[in-house]
Amino acid sequence: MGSGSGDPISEAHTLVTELYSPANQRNPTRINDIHTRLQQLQRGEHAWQIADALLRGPSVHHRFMGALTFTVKVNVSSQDIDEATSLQVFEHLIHNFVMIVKAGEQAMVVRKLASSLVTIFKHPTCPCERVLWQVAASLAHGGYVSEQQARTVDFATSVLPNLDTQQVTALLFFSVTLAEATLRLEDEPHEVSGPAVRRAVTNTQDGLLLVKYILPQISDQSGGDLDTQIHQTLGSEVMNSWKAWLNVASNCSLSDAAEVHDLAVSCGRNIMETLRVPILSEIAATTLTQVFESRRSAFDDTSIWVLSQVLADSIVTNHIISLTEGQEDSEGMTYVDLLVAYLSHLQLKVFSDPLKPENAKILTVAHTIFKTPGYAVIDDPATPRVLEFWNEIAEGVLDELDANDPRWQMIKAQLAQVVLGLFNKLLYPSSDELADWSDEERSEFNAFRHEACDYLLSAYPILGVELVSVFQESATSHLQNGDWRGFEAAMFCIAQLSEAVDENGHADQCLDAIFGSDAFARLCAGGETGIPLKARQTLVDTFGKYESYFERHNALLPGVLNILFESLNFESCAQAASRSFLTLSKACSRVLTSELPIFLDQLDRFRTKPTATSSTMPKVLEGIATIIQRLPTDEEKVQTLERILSFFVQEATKAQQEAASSAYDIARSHGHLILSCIASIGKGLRSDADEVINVDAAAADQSPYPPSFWNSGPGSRAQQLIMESMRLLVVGFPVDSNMIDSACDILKSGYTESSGLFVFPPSMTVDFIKSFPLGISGTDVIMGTASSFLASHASHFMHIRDEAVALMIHVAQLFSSMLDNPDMYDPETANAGIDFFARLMPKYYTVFYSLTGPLPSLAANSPHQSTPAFTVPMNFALHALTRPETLTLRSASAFWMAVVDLRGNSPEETAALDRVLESFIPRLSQTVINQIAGRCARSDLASLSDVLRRLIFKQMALARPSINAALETLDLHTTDGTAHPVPILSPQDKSRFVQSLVVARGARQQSVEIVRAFWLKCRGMSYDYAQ
Amino acid sequence: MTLCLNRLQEERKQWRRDHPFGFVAKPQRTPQATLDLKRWECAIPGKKDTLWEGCVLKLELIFPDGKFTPPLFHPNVYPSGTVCLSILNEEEAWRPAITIKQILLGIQDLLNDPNPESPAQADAYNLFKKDRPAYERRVRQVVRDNPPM
Repeated sequence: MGSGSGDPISEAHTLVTELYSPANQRNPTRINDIHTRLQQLQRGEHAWQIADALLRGPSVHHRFMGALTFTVKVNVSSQDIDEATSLQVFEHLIHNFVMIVKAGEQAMVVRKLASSLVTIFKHPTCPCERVLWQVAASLAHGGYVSEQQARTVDFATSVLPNLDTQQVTALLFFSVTLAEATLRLEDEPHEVSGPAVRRAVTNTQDGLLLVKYILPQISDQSGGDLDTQIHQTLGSEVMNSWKAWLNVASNCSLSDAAEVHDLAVSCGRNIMETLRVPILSEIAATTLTQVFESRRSAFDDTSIWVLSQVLADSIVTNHIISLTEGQEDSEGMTYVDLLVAYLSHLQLKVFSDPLKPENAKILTVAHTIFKTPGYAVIDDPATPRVLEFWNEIAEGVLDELDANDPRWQMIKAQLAQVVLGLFNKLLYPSSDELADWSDEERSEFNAFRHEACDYLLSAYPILGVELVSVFQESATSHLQNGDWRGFEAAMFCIAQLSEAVDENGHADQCLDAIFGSDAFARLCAGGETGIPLKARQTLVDTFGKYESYFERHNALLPGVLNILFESLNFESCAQAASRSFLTLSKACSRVLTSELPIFLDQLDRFRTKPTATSSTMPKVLEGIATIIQRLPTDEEKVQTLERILSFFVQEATKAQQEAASSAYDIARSHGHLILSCIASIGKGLRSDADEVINVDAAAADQSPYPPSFWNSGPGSRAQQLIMESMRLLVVGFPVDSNMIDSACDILKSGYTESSGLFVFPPSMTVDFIKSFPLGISGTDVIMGTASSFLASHASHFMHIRDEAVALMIHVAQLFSSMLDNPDMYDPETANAGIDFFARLMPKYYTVFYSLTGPLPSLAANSPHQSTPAFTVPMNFALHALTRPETLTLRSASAFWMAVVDLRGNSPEETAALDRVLESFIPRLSQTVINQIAGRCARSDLASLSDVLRRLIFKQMALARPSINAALETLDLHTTDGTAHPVPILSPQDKSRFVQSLVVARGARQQSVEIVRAFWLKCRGMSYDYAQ
Repeated sequence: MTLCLNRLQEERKQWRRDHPFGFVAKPQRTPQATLDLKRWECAIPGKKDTLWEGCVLKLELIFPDGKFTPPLFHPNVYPSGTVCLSILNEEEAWRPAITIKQILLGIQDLLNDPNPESPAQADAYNLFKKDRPAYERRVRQVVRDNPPM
């Protein structure tokens, strides 16, 4: 290959020949080398000559490369091109364009040269404006014509009629390229492309005039004497051209906007006429659909009338009907799209009173689309499209019409007809058919079914309960006949309509007809083994969606729950069945107590099945526990609970043994399942919403753990079983976060009750929390439990003083370890521990401040040996305000806000609190000011600002001198133009900052903004998002 | 106000015409059965080939805030369920022109690609930072508990 030493023109010629040589096509390295060298030449000093020479080359490839070289050269030499050069290139390119068109050049070369012409036209130095006119005149003249000369001859009436088909086609290529380039220029910065856009848009009217000139010539059936290929090319280009200039007209401001708009609309009508020309109809339909979706203003009333005539004509309807009859019709779908675009454009206006004959025909075709054979989305793309329109109508009717409007009944009838048409489309495929579908196809079909139900929900307010009765009749008859597919589809629709009819009972009669039927009774009795899984899945899902109905018709519940238990055995149904079981148990627990023995037997069978997983089992147990809670006596409750819990102790022992025998992962998930099941039982037992115990109202002088049926009576064995399971698993899996989560849930179950199975001795929580070492994952959940524990005893906190002290000392010791040994610092413990103190402060502050002795068991060299224990968390929280971890800093801010907010219950208490604040506020102020002076992350400003706001608003007298002193010590500098340091903040800036915060009077948003402005000033404005 | 509603109405139409596969977004209904265009019920599928594949998570979109219902185990989701994502934050990258499609796709990306710089809940954040296998186990449980419709 040449290296640039020979004649560059010959070299370029040879390179293009080699580039397309069949011998090189399988040698990517060679092709790459040729490309690289060609690009060098196209950018080099001989590029103009190379372009000219290649354009006269022997093959279409050479000539294409010649045209391309002009574009490349204009772009790379953009900076060197002045007005004279641009005019020279422009003239040269127009001349070449005219010549190659005259020579009958192939389309790809003509398009490429048109593109080069547009590239030079866009150049900022190019003075030309009506370039389309100029190029047309040059084509007509057979050589270059200046713009001034061109504009002496009328474009539409004199220039265009003088062009032959080839010239018109070339002019269209150029027109489309120019319009598309103009649109792209619009996206560039105005200062760069503004002048070029201004010149380009002056061609909009000419572009549309060209469209207007060509359309009548191609609109008659034969296209005159045009060759089919040319007829199609012209049609396609003219429609692209209309679309492109329409976009220019809509996006850019034009001096002759009204005139251009009328012209564009008129072109649109001409395009509609081409729908009758078989060779052009498909491209016309596609173009019109696209324009309907993006440029609605392109059509006026006359256009809509013209289109309605065509759409109602058999020339279009036959295509759609053949599609709905299952015949191959490649154009059918294009017309469906156009029909839907037309209907969506008109919306409710299509239902005029009386209905226009053409619209009546169009709507009939729209309904026929639902008859298209095959599954929607999978084999039938038309149904989802037309459903989009009906969905829009159903949604719009309520907003725009009232029931007295004369059109209401007409629309109602139409919507009902859609329901009938849609039903067959909702039938779920058989398992054989489904086996051939990909996962994506299954999801798409499911999504379609939900879209269809969305329509049903939108139509319900208009159609009323008759809508449900349609599906009820279908469900009843299919159930009777054992047609499970039909039954499934009907139940699916009924399930989705529950949102509209469950609570208000409007459809109870319809539901009675299904659930009160003999066929349904047989299903409940468990005799029906032939029900396919999909129908079963839909049925169990339906049960859960009609909780209010079953609450009103509780006699049906035993049978329904029997089906649910039966369905738990099937993998595809277990999830929905457990969910519905829980919903119905919660809603109807009072009436289900007599069924408990049966449920317990069912549970015994279910828990050994592979479908008894962490997704299903806890829901079933929570449901059963909800029912147990309704038993009248504790004795009855304990009997059933012991039966369930004994099983879990056995299982916990088994899990521990599994762990010891190296099947650790299996054992761990087994253990987690056990604990989450026990936690669910706790949840179910406290779910009795109308009998929730108000912990605050409990007698203040009562012991937190008085002797009861559950801790010292017959219930104590059941409680021991829970504690035993927890002990086995927490010991067996000491730092497993899932296990910790579930164990904490179990403990928390009893916090909202005064007595019960899950109300454990307070020491159990304390021992549990203290048993975990520093740094394990799950600390936040453990500390959250500690906070919940203290909150549950807040009204009588002195009764658990020892436990509260033990917890506070435990966390303070963790803090002191981290303060003394920075490498032991654990952000999770820091955050969770500070959060624990922040939450307890409002109620337990007296206990907290009573920790005046040093922490026990400190290392001999610990600096905290001589400080009161309560100062350790405070010092730690001060330190935390300087940490980079957002969560820790957020908790520390919340802690300090809680501390500043405290008010004593007596003058002595207030004085004591003030003494603590006096010793901490100066350090707190210093820390916060240092942080907001540019040190902290932007995202932490809101938290730190909250502390500052609270200090100023609640402790002005103490805080203001400290904040002033902290600001005084700030010594931030930047450098000026001569590299001399200058202070960032003047004394006035500092005092203005404090003054602004005072004026904000504690308003959160205002304070955050002041602090943010201060941070930006200290850190440098480049950190401002607004910049 | 009307401008805002028109914009949301247009969103509704655009979504009907073209929305990413597996996603759901529809305005909630008022008690009078009309649509409340400011509150949308959405569903986001877990991305293919990620830990989240196979689940569909429910999200309530009250412009411009997104809230998982129930709250989701994820480092960038607040305990209330609100998502912490820059394109939803009016002080950061949120613009009125951001579409529901962009918001939901943004949240889908966030699922498997949490932003450790903006932790929103301690539970998931700490596990994500400290014990990745345990974090992944919890996510798998979330996936199992939220199967597709």
